[in-house]
Amino acid sequence: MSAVKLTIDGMPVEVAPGTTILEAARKLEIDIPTFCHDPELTRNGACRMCVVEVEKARALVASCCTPVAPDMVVHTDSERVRTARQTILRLILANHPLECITCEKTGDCRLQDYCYRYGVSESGFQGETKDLPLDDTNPFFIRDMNKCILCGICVGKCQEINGAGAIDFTRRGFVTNVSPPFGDPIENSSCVFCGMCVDVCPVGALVPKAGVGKGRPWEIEKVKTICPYCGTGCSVYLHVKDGKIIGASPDAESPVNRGHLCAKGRFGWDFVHSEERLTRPLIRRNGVFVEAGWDEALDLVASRLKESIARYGPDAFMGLSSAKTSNEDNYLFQKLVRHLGTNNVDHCARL
Amino acid sequence: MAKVLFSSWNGTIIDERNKDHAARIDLEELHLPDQIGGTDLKVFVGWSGLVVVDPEINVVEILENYFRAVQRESCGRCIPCRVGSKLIADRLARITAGRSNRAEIDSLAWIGRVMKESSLCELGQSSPLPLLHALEYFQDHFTAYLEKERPVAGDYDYRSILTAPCRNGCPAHIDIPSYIRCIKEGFFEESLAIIREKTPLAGVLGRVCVHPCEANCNRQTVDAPLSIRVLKRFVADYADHNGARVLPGAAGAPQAEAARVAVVGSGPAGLTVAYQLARRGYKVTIFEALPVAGGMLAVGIPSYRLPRDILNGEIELVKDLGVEIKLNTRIGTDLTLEQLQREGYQAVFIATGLHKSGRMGVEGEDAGYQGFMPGVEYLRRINLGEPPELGRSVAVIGGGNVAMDCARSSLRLGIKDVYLIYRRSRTEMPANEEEIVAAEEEGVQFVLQSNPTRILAEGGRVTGVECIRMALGEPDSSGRRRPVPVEGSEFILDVDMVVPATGQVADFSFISPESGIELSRRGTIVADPKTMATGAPGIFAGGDAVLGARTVIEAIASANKAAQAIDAYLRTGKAALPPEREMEQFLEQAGVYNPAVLPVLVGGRERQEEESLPVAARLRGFNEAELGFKGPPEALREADRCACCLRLGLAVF
Repeated sequence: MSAVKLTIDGMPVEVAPGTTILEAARKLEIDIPTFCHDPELTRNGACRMCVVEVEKARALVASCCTPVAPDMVVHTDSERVRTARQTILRLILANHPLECITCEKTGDCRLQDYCYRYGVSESGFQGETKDLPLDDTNPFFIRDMNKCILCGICVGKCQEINGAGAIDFTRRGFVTNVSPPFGDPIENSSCVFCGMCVDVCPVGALVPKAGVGKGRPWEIEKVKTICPYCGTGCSVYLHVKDGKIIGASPDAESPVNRGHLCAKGRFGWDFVHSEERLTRPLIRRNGVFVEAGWDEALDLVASRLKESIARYGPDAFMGLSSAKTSNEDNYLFQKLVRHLGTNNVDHCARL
Repeated sequence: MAKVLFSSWNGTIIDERNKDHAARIDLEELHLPDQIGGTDLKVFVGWSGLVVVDPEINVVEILENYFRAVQRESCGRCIPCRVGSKLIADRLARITAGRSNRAEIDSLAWIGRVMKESSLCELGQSSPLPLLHALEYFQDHFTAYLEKERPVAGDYDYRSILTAPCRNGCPAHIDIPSYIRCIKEGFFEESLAIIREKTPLAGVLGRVCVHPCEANCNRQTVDAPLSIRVLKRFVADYADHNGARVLPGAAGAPQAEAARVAVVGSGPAGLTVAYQLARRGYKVTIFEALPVAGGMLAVGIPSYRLPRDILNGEIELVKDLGVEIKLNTRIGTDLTLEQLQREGYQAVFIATGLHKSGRMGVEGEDAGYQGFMPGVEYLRRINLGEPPELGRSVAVIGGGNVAMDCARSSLRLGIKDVYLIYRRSRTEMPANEEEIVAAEEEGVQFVLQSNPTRILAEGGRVTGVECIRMALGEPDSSGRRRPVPVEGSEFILDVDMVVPATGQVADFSFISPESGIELSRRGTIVADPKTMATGAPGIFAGGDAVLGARTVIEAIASANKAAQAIDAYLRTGKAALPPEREMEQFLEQAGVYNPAVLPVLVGGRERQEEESLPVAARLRGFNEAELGFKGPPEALREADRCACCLRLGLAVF
């Protein structure tokens, strides 16, 4: 099929049929604001932030779910469009708590960013606000549905990417909410706490519990690493402040996990700074663990191994490695074991 | 006669407030009914504006009620509709309570405009219109609440209805927007359950419905209408493939002592009435004269259009609800109507259809020639597996769907030359365009603007048909051009079979004059179009037997009306309509589809067409010719073309 030619903000562009106006505009590096758009999810066109003016159309259209048509003329930043986006932001603010001072999301909040961009400082439409209970009984994240703007990306990730289907839209009209069935806490649902919903929430409705009060987004250094848990090797950013990990998020660019993480990679980093973590070798003396030096400990292990192998033969010994160590460490480990005369070497992620 | 005080309906401002009552235009001119359930209409608020009849009303409190209804229907996904309509409703409430101010009144237009401009679907886009019109033309009604002496609250009854052009265009008012939305979201079985609120025959309609919904689809003004019929077929087939038996929940509390209802005829109307009453807990028995159930679906429509396993599967659904079908039981000979009533059937529904052919008024049609057979009989014998002795060529007479069925079936039986004689031109043919195209593709030879004058025979066997050419004159009452014979243009078509399919009539020999059931001059049963009640107490009728030769979906629509009325009759002794039906009827008259209102859509999404069997394979037998969508991706793409043109109306009376 031949390419579709259209004009966006006076610039001609050619795209494949079926491309959306939003995708075509991004090709021209035009930044159209969105809340509910996620390239890997079914488009729902709910937030209406991405509305643009298409000549000859009766009203504004959502660029995220309108395919291009030949000779279409699109205006992404006209007065009409700006006014609509401003009003939509004001409608959101009409029942969004302005707790930005203490909100964990401040500085990384798309609602803030767009309000700044469109010069919206308050709603002007004071109306009924929501008063939903905080869902914070689980150890991983806090759900404050009063801050939710119902973009629906969390629902999409949960249903289409994870497959858990723990949450969906409930009720209708103003009282529409995103919730597990029957309004239960997320803990009692089919949620597997992968935290993908938390990663994609554009506002502060879903925040990781462990990071609360630990640092602002601009104070955080994001350090890219590989998740140590399993052999998949997901790419992950550790959020570091003052030399301490206070959070983790997936790497959207990684070909391995493409912006997804499971519960372990997403929330399971707290062992790093655990007080219970072993930092020095311990040797059991008279039934009690006693701190020892590295040389002493390694010598002890080596001598005991030699003893066992001498008495029972090398196949009496096996080495079991860990997915938490690096590829190089695992290579050396199996070298060592084979050098000791056995092929009994395995790895916990060899599933 | 009700007069219009003010109307902004359909984009035209009619302001008659400064005129004398007598000089004002009639409500009838706007095609709006002047009554709801027997009470006078005061105001109608809806997707297209505001119509005020009663001079005493105040629009502010009426609009508040309207926006509360929007809130009830808003799906809550998009911000403008979810939050906007709530803010508007709350503001209107504050205004009427005298707790508002000028600035707040002014902000209403601002919120209304953003709803109209940027809502996700047409519910949010269309519902602010009456508010915007009111702010422009009834500003005094708003400011009156700022005064010390506020207007007193009116004593109104409200009735709201959510519909859409497609839904209103469907005679049975199947909730099309909802079932398409379910498909969009991947809930295929839920979608089917919505269709089955109105009829068990989803798979049947998905194949043979003439889809008036598509003629009412807003999308046609942009590119092409949604393929609503094939979407319906898709969800029915999907459930079938997965062995899922999909039914909506019960339609009402079961009766403590369930009344018994007899249904005469097992066609689409009879099956639907039985289904709906069984869902309400009644004990229903269907009496069917033929050896198979399904009426014209089984013995009229050929199996290449409607495979029998599809029909029988849906008949099984009806039986599973406890409905008994007594085959080979002809009312009139095996049992009489009076007997049914005596045997304890408290209500009877007659839907016996039109199973006899009308006469053409052509010389030789009554001579009993071999090779001459009326269309309905021809199809019945083919469908029952007892085809008549066939010739090498056949002339089918008529341009309707039955004629197409006869012609296309003849090709499948191996008849080489199949002619279709029609007195007008191709464009006036009453058959569905899809049917006409398929007949052409398969090799039916159209003999247009011709009319038979004489059936020719030798030794009692048909040898041909003499026809005369027709010219097209002025349009007649049906809007089609009247055919006029061209003198001296007679010609002879050599055929050994003639199958007239120019009209069907009923056989009402089982209805006695004393029964109280009145027959019309057209040879149909006279029934109240709202309740389908006949003149005889407890006896209702529907389908072709009342409507004349119509469609499956109209038969179903009449059956749904009858089922509601029978339910009311059995509970209260009176065949009344439920309130939601009254609103549906209101909109049937008012109309919803308006091609002048462009949907907020731009092109770029092609209509997905169903797969079809290649012509050669079709003609090898009675294999199904149309195959539905290839799979879920096509169905999802098609569902995604729906603009969700929801429309909310509120009648105030």
